[in-house]
Amino acid sequence: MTKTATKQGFTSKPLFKQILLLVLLIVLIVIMHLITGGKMLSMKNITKNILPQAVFPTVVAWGMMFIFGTGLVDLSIGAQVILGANIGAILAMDAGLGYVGLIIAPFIVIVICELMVVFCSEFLKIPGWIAGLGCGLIFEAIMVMWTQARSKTAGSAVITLGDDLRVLGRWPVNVIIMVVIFVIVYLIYNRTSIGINLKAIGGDPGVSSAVGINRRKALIIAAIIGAVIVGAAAILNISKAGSISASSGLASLSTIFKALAVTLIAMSLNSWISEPVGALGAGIFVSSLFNFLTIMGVQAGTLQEVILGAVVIICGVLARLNYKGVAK
Amino acid sequence: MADIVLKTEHLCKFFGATKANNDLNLEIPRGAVLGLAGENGSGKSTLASMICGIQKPTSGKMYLNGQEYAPSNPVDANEHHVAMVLQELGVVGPLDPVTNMFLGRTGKFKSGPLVSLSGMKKEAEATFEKWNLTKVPLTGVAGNMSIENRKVLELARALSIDPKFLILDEISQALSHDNRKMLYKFIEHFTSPEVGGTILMVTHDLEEMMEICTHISVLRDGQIIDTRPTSEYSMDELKRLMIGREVSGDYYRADREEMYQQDVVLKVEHLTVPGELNDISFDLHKGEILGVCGLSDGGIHSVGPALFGLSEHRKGNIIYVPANRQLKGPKDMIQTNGAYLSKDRDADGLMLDASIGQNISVPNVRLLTQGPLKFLSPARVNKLANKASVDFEIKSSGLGQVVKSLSGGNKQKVNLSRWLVQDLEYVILDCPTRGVDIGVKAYIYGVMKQMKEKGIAIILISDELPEAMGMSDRLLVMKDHEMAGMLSRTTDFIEDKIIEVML
Amino acid sequence: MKTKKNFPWLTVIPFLILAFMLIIFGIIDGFDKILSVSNLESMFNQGFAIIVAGFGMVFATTMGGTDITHGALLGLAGGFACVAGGASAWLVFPAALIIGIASGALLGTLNAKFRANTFMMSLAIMIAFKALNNLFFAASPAVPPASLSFINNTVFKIIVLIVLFLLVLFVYNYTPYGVYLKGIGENEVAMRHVGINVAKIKIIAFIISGGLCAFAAVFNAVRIGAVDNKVGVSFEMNVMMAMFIGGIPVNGGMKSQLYKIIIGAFTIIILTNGLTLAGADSGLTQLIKGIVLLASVAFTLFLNRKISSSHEQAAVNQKKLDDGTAQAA
Repeated sequence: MTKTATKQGFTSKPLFKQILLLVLLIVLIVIMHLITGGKMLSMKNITKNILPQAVFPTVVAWGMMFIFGTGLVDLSIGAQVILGANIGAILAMDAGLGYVGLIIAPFIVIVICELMVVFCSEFLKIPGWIAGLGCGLIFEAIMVMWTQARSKTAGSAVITLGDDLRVLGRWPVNVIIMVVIFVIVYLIYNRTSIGINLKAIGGDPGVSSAVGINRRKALIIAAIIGAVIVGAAAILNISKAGSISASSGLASLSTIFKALAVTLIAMSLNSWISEPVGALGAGIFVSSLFNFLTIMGVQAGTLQEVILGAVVIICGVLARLNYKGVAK
Repeated sequence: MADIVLKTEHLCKFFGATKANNDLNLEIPRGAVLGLAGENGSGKSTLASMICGIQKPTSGKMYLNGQEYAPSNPVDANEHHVAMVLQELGVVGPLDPVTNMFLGRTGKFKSGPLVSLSGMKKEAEATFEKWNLTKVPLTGVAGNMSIENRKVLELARALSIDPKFLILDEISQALSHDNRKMLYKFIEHFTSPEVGGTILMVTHDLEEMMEICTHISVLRDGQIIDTRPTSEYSMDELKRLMIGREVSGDYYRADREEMYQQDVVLKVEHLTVPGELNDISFDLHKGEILGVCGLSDGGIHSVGPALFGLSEHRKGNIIYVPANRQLKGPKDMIQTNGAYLSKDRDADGLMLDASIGQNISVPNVRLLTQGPLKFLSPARVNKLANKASVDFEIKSSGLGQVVKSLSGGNKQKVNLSRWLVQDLEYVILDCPTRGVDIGVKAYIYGVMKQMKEKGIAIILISDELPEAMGMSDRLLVMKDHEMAGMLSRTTDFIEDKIIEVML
Repeated sequence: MKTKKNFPWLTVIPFLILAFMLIIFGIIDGFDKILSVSNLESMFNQGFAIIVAGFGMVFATTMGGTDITHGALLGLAGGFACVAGGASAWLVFPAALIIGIASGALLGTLNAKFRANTFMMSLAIMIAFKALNNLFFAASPAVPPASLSFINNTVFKIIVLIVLFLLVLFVYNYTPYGVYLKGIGENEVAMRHVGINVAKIKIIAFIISGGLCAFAAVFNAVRIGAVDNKVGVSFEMNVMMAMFIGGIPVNGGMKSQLYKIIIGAFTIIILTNGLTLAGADSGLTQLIKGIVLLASVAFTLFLNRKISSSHEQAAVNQKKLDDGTAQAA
């Protein structure tokens, strides 16, 4: 027991509860599988639907873990993904830079966007949620303006990645990348100073500043790390989908709502399992659940989102069960 | 010439208009165990926080080992080998104990890009070994540790930076007998000539202080009353210096008789709040001023919220006798013409960014409505606010002045007037003259005397003994969350006797 | 004892911004175009829903919360109203109100009884409602009964708006409820200490927010002619911008005033209208709106901080004066 405690951070949490959760997850999935008459857990369905559809929400959730870590609830992430992914596609296709353009651009764009939100929140002192919404409008608008300009010149408004550039979005590459990102995220979150400091700030801001953790510095570094992770998610997303059209009026919120639910589930379980692991489990669960609903005939974009909303509400209530302060 | 390790010179810390530390001059010799004695609010924690770098002084200087010492933050203090275990801090719950010990310094344990958890654990175990501390379990999360184990962990954390000056703030009250023994042995070892450390200790346990400390410094109202070697104190003198105050001025009641009407307004039976109050019972009579006093953490400040109905898991009965009505919650007290003014007027009473008029109106609007639609006429509201402002002599540039810009005394007048302008039958006042200048103090006592004459019953909760003695008919003394005694103005109001009961 | 009478910047600035918008777009588009009767009517029709829903959202914001459900409610309540209208025109408004009130009650309870964060909860409800809109109205948009087309008359709307304003103003400024609501925004703990039933006040605030939005939804449905799943997109952002640009504090409180949403709504409408007339694409319009939102919130918060610290300084100065006179005495 001592040996595992030193080697892996997450078994500092009760091992028994972790096994319980894993069993619960497996049981729920098996139940859903049985209800669908054995259709859900076919190799084809798993590799074509469940796992690939878990990639984007889970990776974005990991990014949210870092960005929301100090309390900055930034919902412009959806718009950032659209902007970053499309700029990557533009550089890949229109500028002929291929994979180089596709991979480098989203990281840079999304990091800049996130730093802009952090600037509004930290230095202009705009409340985090308003900063996120306002910047979200701006990021969306930039994409819309570009789309509107392009549709006048190039005929088509949306840029599509050529098939030869979409290997990152296909099985098994996308899932392998997700696993690699998982390992990196896990190590950063549990085994680096920035991860430890972030958890400390989230757990007890008073003690953290008393031991000398610089909140602002940690917040900025965490936001950059989170933005890089979201950048990876953007690349994976456009590789899978081929194109992502611009949105307006903060419709981009819907694109990250699943990720938000995954993040919230992971947060409410964080006394049982480490958040990166929780997010992975929650991502797979949510994807399985929605796959189950689709097989059962419930259309995407309808009741599935209603269930998501209910999940977020339940998590929101659970998170505040022991909270004694003023809630607004 | 004694070897002075820490010296403060005219050290002051002001928070806006409040003087938390006022002109402190202290010399701590090396190897001493200096105890800081004083009530809550006396300035002990402010002094400790300045020495360990959490706060910066408003003025004055500190010298460590003869050199000027002005830590910009706790880490800076640590680098000067000053470490602390503070009461309000603690550990970060979601993290494991070992990470908590080295929080903020995890960069020192890097192997490659990652932090070596095993490296940290080895260092942690070595620290426990070196100082002979009780070996607390280092697995699990810190939030699940017992309070005792957490305190030992915090001590280990402080020691891991290899300090020469150690501040211990209320550490022993969390510890069991065995752990206390370990602590005392540690203190002895730490301050021995071989190790050469010095300790600053804050504790409420006066017996412990007399036993362990080599010197004791008494603080009161932000100033140091005296600093002497322990041998030069007697327990009684220590208590008196801590609590007694010069009664300057004659603004309390002139009479010495317990005087009130027969009729009971409130009957309190077996009032209990787990962790805060244990079986409190008393009757409150018309025209009576019932004082409640005791050491600040003895439970006196839990009485108000319990009576008002804001405490959780409250048991017992509170009965408004004239209507035989049980007071179950705030609404009941308000509807039976009662009011409760909490000790913390800024957080619990006033809307600091709103105007005087708006603040005065809030408790009164329900009484000013007209008609079934509950129409609230601004003219009526203004009229009442004006009346209150005039009646209570609130010094301002007008009802529109923002409360935040008022002095403490005027703020308290706004706080009081918004309630006292009503026709109340009973009031609970918790530290009504806290942070208020002499003139307003006298004024408030005058108002209380007038209320008493009108037959209004007052519960006066106060951590200032002279005030409680000066104004009350009867004094409910609380100790360790229980009633230690009910004293009568006529026969029992002798300072030493009351202090005896309190401590 | 004197305090300097500070120039009421916070009150004046929203009016200045409105005037500024008018002038700028008057210059860019031509005053005759902006102030033409048809344009004014068009602006009013667009602004009507924003103002009515805004009256509601102000209640939620005044107590310090957030209600982001308005866009989705415009669709769901409007859609259901039309469906109910198929049975009888009398059911239209009640059907909408039921949806709005239920939504508000849920949101209010989650916050008042379960201490959940209003932003996150209203976001969840918004996503759920948008999904329901997709489910019910994407394929077959709901159409309001023809007998209700009379409510689309501009004069009628002006009268409704005035009546509504007076009613809401009464509750907001001339009842104890309004005082308590603003008090909760200023200091919720202090309100508990006055014996006020804070939970009840909060829930009612959200019910009003949802209810008024539902009321606007009916007018909106009749104006557009049908409710599909695209109704209400970015509506809640428009209402929110109207509130903050109009000067309603982000955390609510005593400085929240009803007229401010009207000023803010006109500002947003003129901004949108002016940009459209000038030929700006929807993308550019949204970009400018986003910047205006951030700039106005940053600026008002900055002003508030300055005013707050000057109040604190005044207290310190006053204490020094008091100490001086006490010593001299």
